[in-house]
Amino acid sequence: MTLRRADRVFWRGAPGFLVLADGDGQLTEISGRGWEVWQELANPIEQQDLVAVLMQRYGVDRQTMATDLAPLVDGLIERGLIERGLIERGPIERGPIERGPVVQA
Amino acid sequence: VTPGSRTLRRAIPVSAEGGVRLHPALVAAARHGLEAAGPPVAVEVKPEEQAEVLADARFDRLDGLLALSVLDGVVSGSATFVEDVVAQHHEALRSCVALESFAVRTITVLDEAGIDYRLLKGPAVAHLDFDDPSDRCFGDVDLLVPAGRWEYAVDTLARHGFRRGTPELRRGFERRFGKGATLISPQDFELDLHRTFAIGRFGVATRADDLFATAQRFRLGGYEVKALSASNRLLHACYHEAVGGFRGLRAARDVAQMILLSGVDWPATVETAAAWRSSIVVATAVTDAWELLDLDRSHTAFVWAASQNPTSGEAAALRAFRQPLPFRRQALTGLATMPGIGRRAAYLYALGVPSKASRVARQRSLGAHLWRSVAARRRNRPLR
Repeated sequence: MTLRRADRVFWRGAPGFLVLADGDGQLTEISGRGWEVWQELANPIEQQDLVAVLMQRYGVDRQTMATDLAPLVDGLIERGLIERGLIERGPIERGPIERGPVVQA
Repeated sequence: VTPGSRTLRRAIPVSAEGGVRLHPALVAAARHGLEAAGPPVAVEVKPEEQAEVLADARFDRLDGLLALSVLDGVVSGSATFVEDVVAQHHEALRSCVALESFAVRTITVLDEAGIDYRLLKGPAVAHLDFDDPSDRCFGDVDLLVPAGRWEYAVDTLARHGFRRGTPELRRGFERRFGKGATLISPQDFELDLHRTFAIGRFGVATRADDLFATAQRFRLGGYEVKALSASNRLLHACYHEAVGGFRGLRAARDVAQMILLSGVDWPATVETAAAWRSSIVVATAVTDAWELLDLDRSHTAFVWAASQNPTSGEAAALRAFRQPLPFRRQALTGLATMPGIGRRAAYLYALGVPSKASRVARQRSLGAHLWRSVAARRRNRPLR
């Protein structure tokens, strides 16, 4: 199942800290691995691939990582901060360091 | 750089008591990561200094750079201090995302009303000029709208529940002469709506409509927003540093960041400033930034800036912004270069005889307002 960041989500992260705001300014705060997970969601990713990336990074087995990750993913989906199964919309061009071209208005 | 040095007196507003509080740890944080900065020096914050350093970092929106400096070992302190730095940074980040969400909601209102805008300062600089926006914290949202659409923009936002922080000095003052106005959203977020970059001499010279000829677009929460072009962002950063409100280390960092790290075409900025007869604003900001952050003075931007000399009128205007003088005293620096006798008269009248609503908001009668103006001028001291 593919996961992607939802539209109208604003975020900042630091080691062990992630804060997200939705379009109405409602804040969601996640400690622990939330920031790392969010960075992996910069482009749509299969949930099983996300598990694989993180299990390799943290040196844990697949089952442990999948079990750890599931509540976080479910919580983010519940709050409308990420979406599941919309890969057909294609990669999203955005992110904290995205730079747009200088254009004539 | 030490408190009380010539550099600091030039760059930092001095309190009524003449004191300047600027801990070396804050200077180290503000210059951390700049390519032209010298080798990093580890600065220790002693236990008795920690509260002050944290308070000053919060006031100057240096929370992100201070946290990064602690993480990188450039600034050190007790375990409690490190915990407090991290906690304060997290608090600033909560504020930033809430403000960005608010910015996009506000921009949507302007877009739907067909009002052009440019997102200024904090969110734009954080995303376009810093690799990690978490390093550049901010405390409000600033939007520039065309002068010709000023009143429509204010009315449009008022229909969406925004209210003024203070009444307009006189009806039409902001559209004709003002820098902008502070509006408060129904959720109590602060929006600084700008018509131009500054008040006074250098604001009068600004051709703000030119700023709408170009834009740098980027996505904020998935919504495409328009910021100033890179060279105009640097121009605005220079205005803020040289003739803005509070000009601290973060203002200096923004100028240095854009020139040294985000690769802004600073000669293009100088070219625009020259067309606005405001080259000295850019020169002053660059000189301040380089001296305050102790950067490599062989850089061509500093060499150019150091070679610029203000005229006597420019020097007087710059001085007015380097002391804690009231709005009217700074605004009066625009009188000499303002074109048209009628326009000057209207400007002077608005500054000298504000509307009743404006006086009421400041709890002053007309007589008291005029007397304070005259008395302060006679005694040659700042108005309060």
